Amino acid sequence: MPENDFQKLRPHPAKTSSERVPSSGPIRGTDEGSETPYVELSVTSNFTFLTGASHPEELVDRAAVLGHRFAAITDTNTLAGAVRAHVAAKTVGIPLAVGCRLQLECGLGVLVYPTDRRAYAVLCQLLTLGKRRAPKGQCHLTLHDLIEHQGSTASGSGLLAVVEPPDVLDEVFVETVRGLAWVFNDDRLSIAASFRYDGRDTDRLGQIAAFCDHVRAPMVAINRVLYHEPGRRPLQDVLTCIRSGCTIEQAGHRLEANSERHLKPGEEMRRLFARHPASVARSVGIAARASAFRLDELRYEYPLAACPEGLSPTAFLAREAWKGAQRRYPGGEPDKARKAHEHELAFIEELGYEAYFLTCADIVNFARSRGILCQGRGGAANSAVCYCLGITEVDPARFSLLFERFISRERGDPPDIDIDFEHVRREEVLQYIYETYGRERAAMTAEVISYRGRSAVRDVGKAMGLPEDCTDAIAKNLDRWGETISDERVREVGLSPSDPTIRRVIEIATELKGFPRHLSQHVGGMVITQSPLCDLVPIENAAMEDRTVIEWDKDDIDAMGMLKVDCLGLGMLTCIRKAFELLNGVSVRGPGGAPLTNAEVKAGEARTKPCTS
Amino acid sequence: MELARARALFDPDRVRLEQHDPARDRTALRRLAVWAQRFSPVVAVDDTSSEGDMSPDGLLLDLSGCAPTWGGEGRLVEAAMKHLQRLGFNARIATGPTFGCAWAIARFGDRNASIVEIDDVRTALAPMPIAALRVDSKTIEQLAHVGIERVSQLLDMPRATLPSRFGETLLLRLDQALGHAIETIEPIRPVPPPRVERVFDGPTDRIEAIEHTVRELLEQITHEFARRGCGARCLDIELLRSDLGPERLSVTLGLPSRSPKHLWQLIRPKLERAHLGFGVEAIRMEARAVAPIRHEQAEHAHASQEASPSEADRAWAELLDTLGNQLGADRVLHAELRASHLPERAFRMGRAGEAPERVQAGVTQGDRPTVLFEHPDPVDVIALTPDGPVHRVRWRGEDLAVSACTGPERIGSEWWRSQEDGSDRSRDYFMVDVEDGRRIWIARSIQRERWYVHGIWA
Repeated sequence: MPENDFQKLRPHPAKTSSERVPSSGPIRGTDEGSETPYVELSVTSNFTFLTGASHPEELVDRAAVLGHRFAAITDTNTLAGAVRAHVAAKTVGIPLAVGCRLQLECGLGVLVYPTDRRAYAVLCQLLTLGKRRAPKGQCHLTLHDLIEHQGSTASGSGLLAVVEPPDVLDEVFVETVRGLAWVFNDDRLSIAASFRYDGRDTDRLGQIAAFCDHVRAPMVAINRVLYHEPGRRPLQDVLTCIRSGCTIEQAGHRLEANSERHLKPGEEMRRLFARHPASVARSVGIAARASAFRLDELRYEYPLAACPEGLSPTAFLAREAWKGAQRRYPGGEPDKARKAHEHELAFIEELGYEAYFLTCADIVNFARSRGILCQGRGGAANSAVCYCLGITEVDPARFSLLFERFISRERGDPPDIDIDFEHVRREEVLQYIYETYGRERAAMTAEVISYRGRSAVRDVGKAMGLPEDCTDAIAKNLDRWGETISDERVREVGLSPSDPTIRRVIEIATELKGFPRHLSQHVGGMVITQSPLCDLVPIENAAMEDRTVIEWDKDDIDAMGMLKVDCLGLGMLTCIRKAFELLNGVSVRGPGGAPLTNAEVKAGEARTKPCTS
Repeated sequence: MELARARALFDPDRVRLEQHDPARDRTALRRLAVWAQRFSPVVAVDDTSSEGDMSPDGLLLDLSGCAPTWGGEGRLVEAAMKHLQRLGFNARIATGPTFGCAWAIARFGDRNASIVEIDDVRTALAPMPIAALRVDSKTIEQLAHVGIERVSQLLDMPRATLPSRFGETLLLRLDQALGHAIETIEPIRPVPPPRVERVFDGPTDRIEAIEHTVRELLEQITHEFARRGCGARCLDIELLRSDLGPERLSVTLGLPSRSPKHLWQLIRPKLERAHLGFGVEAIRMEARAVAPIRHEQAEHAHASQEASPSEADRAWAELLDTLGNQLGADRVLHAELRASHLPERAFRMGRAGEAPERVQAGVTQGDRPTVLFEHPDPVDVIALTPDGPVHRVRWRGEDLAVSACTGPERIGSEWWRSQEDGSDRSRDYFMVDVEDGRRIWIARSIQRERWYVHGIWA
């Protein structure tokens, strides 16, 4: 079943927040380790693809259960998991420090956290800069870029930086830190120290502490977290194998030596950093400053470009809609349509969606002017305003429309207008949007490509060294088997359930199911903003030329209250246009000998183009 | 079947692992061919069945005129079958008027031993599958595609159409099986091993004379090696003594050699210890095993380039030979690095010379002791907290105060390897300096809460 394959295996936390009860009982104030305040500042989720081995939600939940004062998320060179972490943190009621781990070209790793909306915008710009000049999926940033984009102001806000020291604390690093300390003034720079369990921790922590005294930057304790609990080590090892394309037997030192990179309670951190208690306490200070910025602060503004001077969007939309109504109903607007129309306008004004409708109308008008067939579809077909604006073709006078299916106050979902274009000419429309609104203000929505049962088994099986046909046998059946896999089931497909490798492949693949694997572009969702989009979210290059994509997917932007226009390509519209061309070619003309247009085949509308949701 | 597949399909205790070694298969079959010369002087290793990775698996014997000495073909087949079974082989034997016919019946006939008379060739072959004709799998597939699966169907087809459609080989094989075409086999010709001998005028117990003679014989035999383009892997020397049995000396080599100097170095210590009895009457030298080596001149050309790798390899091999012949080949080992966090898996001891290439594997960053115990030594430890530091150690009956302790280094188990429930068996390692100046490597098994000494710095 191909449909099943495309089902979201793991729903976005925003979709489940109402029913989601965090896994382990009471959330805050458990006795477990809460006496020592500590916050894990280096948290890599599975949105650092094929590296982190826990979902952002799991990490946030675990931080809450451990009694951390704050949760944090710092994926490498991305904010892709930030919205999920934000929603999860809101659900469990723990403040979140949104951040990012910058992996610089020189090999240095720097954790950065914005302290306010402006610093957040600077971080997004920095990531956009690094991503736009690199091929898809990569980010090229130098120390110089970071120094230029550190966002300091007189008021002491800006990015907070935590530098991960290299193995050898040499002169180069001293100079680097001195340079950073110069720009990250006002106590915004710290040096990270982690207890690695490599046998030399005491010496190394001592060295780092001495180094910190030397450069006058404080030391902060981190644990470079890759998973929320130690049980995820096998999965993390397998991810490493998938990333480096080797089997677990060949992986050798590419794997972590132990399973210590999980979230630890404050007590444990205090014990490990017994000689450096201030570094544990400092993590809380940094997180407190970082969590002063909340993703909720992001105000989404719809572009006003479509409005002429002197007219408010509300007035402009009303004018356009009335004009459209006159065009649609030359003999006067029927009562039923007018009522719907007025009701909707009031509703749109109340929720402030005018600009959204105007933008859609603008795109449709552009397409019409170029002779590109287009048609609104889906929920928008329930709207009389959309009909008047020419976005949809369902006459409110002749059909009973369910406007509440489109927008409703109770659901609180933003409206979703999907427009189909001829699939061969859709690119023209997309490029028009990029041109009109600018690449800083318009970009495609991302699509998070996640592991499904089959792909998970394939990759895990390969990493565990299983031959392909065995992997296939499991892959074909994993979805059918569901959560619990009995020995019988394994025997059914001709495999031995007592083989530990088979068991492990099934276990790990089940965990891997739903993990994001990479970002792709959404089929047609465009996000357009008034203020620069790269202040809201980092933008990266798509695999296709001339396309730019934001890091968040449609669930993320829903959760952030951002609006998108779905510009979809529909082959059938191309087909219809070609049919028109053929008809015109054999000189079948419309009324009055004019070339036939979309408008004139309206008679059979309901039958010829059943475009309903 | 792949190994991992076999493991996945069957319970582990029902799978026995054996490395497939095609070279050994070949050698074994060749040896069996020599053995089979007791039935016929013309014996060949059958190469036709070796397609792809498959090793040859058959012998062809020309029995013309041989059967009467065994009292008929039936007796001969019976005897061969009995002997092969005794040797541990599961054999199928067929005789026939043509090699092709016998080949087919031996593999696809319904009995283990069959004899086809000259008039029955056609009837015997007719029900056979096409594969019995010694054609490649592609041809078999092509024929199967048009519905031809048995020889009988092929016999019914017009001859002339066959070559153009399925290639020349098919017709040739068919003709060979039916006896319409001649087939010759290339019998093995056992080459006698290089062997030289010197008989003295009378018994001598003068070691100088014997040594001199052995060196002369070495010169002679290495000339023979050069002529054959080979070198000795194993050299036997027999000192025939008056009134006593012969004294046998034997040297084995890692790489074949025909350098008299090197061979003499290996032989000399053994010769010095040899018991000469009442005098040696003759010396016999035989290379029991030889292996090809490149021509001298090619080697010289190569050696002219500076630091030629073959030169280094040869010096290495000569060192291993010298050590191996003095100490016993099993006692000369070399360590091979492997990429693993676990100290006991970070290397592997192999027989020196078996894997001459030195693999580049990453080395763990952590300090490792110079001596790693094969079996960790249980020890009593006093530590304030579970993961260190260690305060007192009671090891091998001594109660030792600790002067310095570094650690812990935590190493997780290789979870994909353990057969049990896969629970994490991590260990913490401590580098501990004890009062008498020794530095020992102590491990704590976290799950079992036991302490061990895993190595020392010597």
